[in-house]
Amino acid sequence: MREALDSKMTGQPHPTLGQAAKTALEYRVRNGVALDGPCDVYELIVRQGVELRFMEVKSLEGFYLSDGTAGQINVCAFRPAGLQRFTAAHELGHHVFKHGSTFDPQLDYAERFSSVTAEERVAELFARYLLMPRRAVHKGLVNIGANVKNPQPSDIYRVAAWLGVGYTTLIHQMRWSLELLNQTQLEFLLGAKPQAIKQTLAPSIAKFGRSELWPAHASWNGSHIHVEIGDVITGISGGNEGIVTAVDRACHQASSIGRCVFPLVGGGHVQVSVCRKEFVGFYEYRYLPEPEDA
Amino acid sequence: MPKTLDLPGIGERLRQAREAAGLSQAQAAKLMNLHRPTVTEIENETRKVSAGELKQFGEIYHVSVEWLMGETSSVNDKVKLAARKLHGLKERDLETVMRIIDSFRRERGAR
Repeated sequence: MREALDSKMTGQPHPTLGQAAKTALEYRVRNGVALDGPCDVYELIVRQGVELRFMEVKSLEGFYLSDGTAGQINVCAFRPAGLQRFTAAHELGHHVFKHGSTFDPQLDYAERFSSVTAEERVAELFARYLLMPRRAVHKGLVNIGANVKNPQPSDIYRVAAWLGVGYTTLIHQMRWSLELLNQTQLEFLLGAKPQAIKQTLAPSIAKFGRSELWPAHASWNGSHIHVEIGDVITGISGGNEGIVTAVDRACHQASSIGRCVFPLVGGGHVQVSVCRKEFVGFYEYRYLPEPEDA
Repeated sequence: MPKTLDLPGIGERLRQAREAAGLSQAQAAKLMNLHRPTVTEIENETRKVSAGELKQFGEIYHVSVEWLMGETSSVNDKVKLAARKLHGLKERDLETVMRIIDSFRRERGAR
């Protein structure tokens, strides 16, 4: 919601937006997350002892509950993967800044940063810098051989997937926070549609629909990809190994619930965790397979 | 607390809590070390649940025994009031949010 419920009781002044960004970077470092790589925000949340739940509430992006000591983050189960992770990071921001219980309705990009309270802006900045710090965005582009000064839509898509954020979200971060893009580039990149980019990157998939594409690369070594059944992964090797099914030599499709480590084409490994579509429940059960004797 | 409980509505609350936790009956049964039909029977209230089982269900589903037993609380009234004031929150969603809030703080008190 536009107002957090308990923070007024703390009497603490709101941090500046610069402090919010700095706190996010410090939070990464304190928790052993490199500044030039992706942040697995779900694992980070549960490591803090904060409960994480995917909820069956379509009209809220998320909400954070706190009783002053324990916290619980609730994320809408029906949003794209990148938005879900951004919401989780935003709610983690409320937890870190001790904002108290807070509700976050659906907002578009402009609303997310304009007509909201100081606490919402702080949580927003925290999420942006937790998931998309400058060094990580830059390294993501370099890793795939992109022209850092003039990235193409497919470059942005690949880096966004590596960082676990949405295509549009990364473009806005690069334009407005990191100032890595000018207005012309912003408009060009926003003009490209993620559906078309997915088709370009994985032409053997006839239709993606709401399924995501995870274009893994050797630079994803050590990463954790959170996918839903039906999502497509490129850049991993191995055959039909339990949780994924090979579509062709380049593409695998998530086909059953569970966790598995896969070799990356070009070296290294990546952990893949598959949940059912629009999973509702606690994160700890998200990748729990059905018992075989059920 | 008696060893076995016969509480009207407890089966439905157990079902709601299980589904909100993201577990199938088979998964819950495995975590509880029960047979799946036993979970079905408990949720249908054709089999009584023991006090020990209820505590274990509460831990697995992240809800308090008190909430499962249908006790009401005013602990989170302020948060619930704020949820009711949210613009655009659909009635069904509000019910779900209320259930999450109701089961939140009390589960920690029970642990």
